[in-house]
Amino acid sequence: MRANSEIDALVSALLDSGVSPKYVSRLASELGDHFTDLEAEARRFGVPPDEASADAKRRLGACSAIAEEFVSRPELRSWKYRSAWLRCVLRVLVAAYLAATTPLRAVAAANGVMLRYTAAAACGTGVTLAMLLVMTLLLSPEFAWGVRIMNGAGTALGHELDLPARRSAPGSASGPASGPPDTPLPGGSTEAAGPDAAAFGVDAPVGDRSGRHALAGATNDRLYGMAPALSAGAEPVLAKPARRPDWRAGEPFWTSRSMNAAVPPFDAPEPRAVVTMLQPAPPDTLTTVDPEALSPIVGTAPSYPVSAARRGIEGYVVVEYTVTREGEVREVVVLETSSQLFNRAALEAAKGLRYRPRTIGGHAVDVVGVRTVIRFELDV
Amino acid sequence: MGQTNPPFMSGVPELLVLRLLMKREMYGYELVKSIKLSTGEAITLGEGVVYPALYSLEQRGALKARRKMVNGRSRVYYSVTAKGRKRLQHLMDEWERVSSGVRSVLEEPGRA
Repeated sequence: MRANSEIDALVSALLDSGVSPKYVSRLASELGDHFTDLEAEARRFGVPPDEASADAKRRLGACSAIAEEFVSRPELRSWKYRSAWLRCVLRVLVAAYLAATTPLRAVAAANGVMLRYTAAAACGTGVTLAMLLVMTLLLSPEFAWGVRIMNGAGTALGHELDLPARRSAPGSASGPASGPPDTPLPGGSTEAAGPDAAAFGVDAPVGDRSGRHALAGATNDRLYGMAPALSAGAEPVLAKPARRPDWRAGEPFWTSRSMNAAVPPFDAPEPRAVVTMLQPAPPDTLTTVDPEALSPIVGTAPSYPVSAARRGIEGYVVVEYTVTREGEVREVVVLETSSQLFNRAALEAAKGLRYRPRTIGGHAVDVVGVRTVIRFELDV
Repeated sequence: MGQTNPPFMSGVPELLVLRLLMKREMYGYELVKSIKLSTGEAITLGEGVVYPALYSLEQRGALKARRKMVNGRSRVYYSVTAKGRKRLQHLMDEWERVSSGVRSVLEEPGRA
C-alpha cells in the first residue's frame, strides 16, 4: 500500500510531538484501513489503480493537517507532556530531599544530637512540601478531581466555590451562552488553508510557523520535503499546543478549522457542464439528415464529478447511442474520454436525453450511432 | 477571499459526529461517508482528521471504541456514551439557538 511510508512518517512525527502512543498506534491502523477503503471505492467506479491511490491520498488529507490536528489537542498527549508543572514539582521535591538528607548524613557521622535536630528539620520540610504539592493538585485547573473535591467541600461548608476547571485564556469567549467563540483558531489565520484546500489541489500551509505549530510544521515539512531544513545548530521551537476549550466549563468545544465545513470563497470556480452536440450522419440509416429532429428536446445537465472538481480537472466524453422510435436513448457507450472520472456522469446524462423521433416516410424509426460530446468545464 | 472555516461553524462537526453515531455505531470511513451523504455533500471533511476528533471525544468520555471483526476485517467502531448524549443535547440546543437567530435576521423584510 503506497500510503504506508507516509503513515509511518506521520506516526514518527506524532510520537516526537508527544502524542500518546496509544492513539498513534490506533491511528496508523485506522488510516491504513481508511486508505484501502477509499481506493476500493474509486476502483468500483472504474478509476484506474494509480488514480485511485492518488484520489484516496487526497481525500485523506495532508499528513501535516492531521498532525496539526493532533498537536492542537493537548488531551491526546502523553501525561508527561500534559503535566509539565508536575514534572517541575517532582524535580523540586527530589532536590529538596537531597538537600535535606545530604547534610543529615554528614552530621550523623559527627554528632548524635545534631542528627536528631536535623532529622526533625528534614521531616518538617518534607511534610511542608507534601502539603504544598497536595494543595497545588487540588487547586490546579488541570486536575479535575481536585476541582470537584474542592467544590464539593465548599458546598458542604455552605460556600459556593465554583472553581473553574480551566483558567480562561485572554480574549476567549466566556461560554456558549455568549454566542460564537472568540478563541483563535489554530494557526491564527482564518485564511490558512486546511485539508479542504489540500483536497482541491492547493498547497495547504501548515499554520502559524512562528508560534505554537512551528515544530509540527517544521517536522512534517522536512519529512515531506516541502520546506528547507532548519539551519545547522538551530533549535526547533517547541510546539506548545493551543489551549483546548473545556466543555465542562461550558466553553465551546471545537474550534478546529480542519474539521469545519468548507465554505467556498465568493470567487471560487463554479463547476458546470456544457453539452455540445455533434451531428450524426451514419449513411446506412438515414436518407436525409435532419438536424432538428436529432436535437434533444429534454435533458438534464450532467453533474460535475466531485473528485474532478476538487482537483480542478476539466475534460470531455464522447458517447454514442441509439435513439429509438419513441425518442428514448438506448445502448449508450463511451467512445472517447479525456478522463474516466467523467464517464459515469456522461453516461447518466445521455440516458436522460429525450428526442423528437426521426421519421422517414411518415414512420418513426430508430437512429443508431447518434454521437454527443459532453464537455466538463470549470467556470472561472 | 471568503473564509473556509468561519467561526460560526465551530462545533458543527462534533454535533454531526455525535448525532450520526447516536443512530448506530460506525467506524471512521463509514462515518465520513455518512456525513457526506446526510448533508448532501454540503459539509466535507478532510477524511484523515476525523480520527483525532474521534479520539478526543473518546478521551473526554463522549464516545467509546471497540474493535469488531466484520467480513474478516478488524475495525474500530465508535458509539456514543451517556455523557456523549448529554453533550449532543447541549450542542443541539446551542445550534437551534444560533440558527433561529440567523433565520430571524434573514427573514426580516427589506432590501436583499
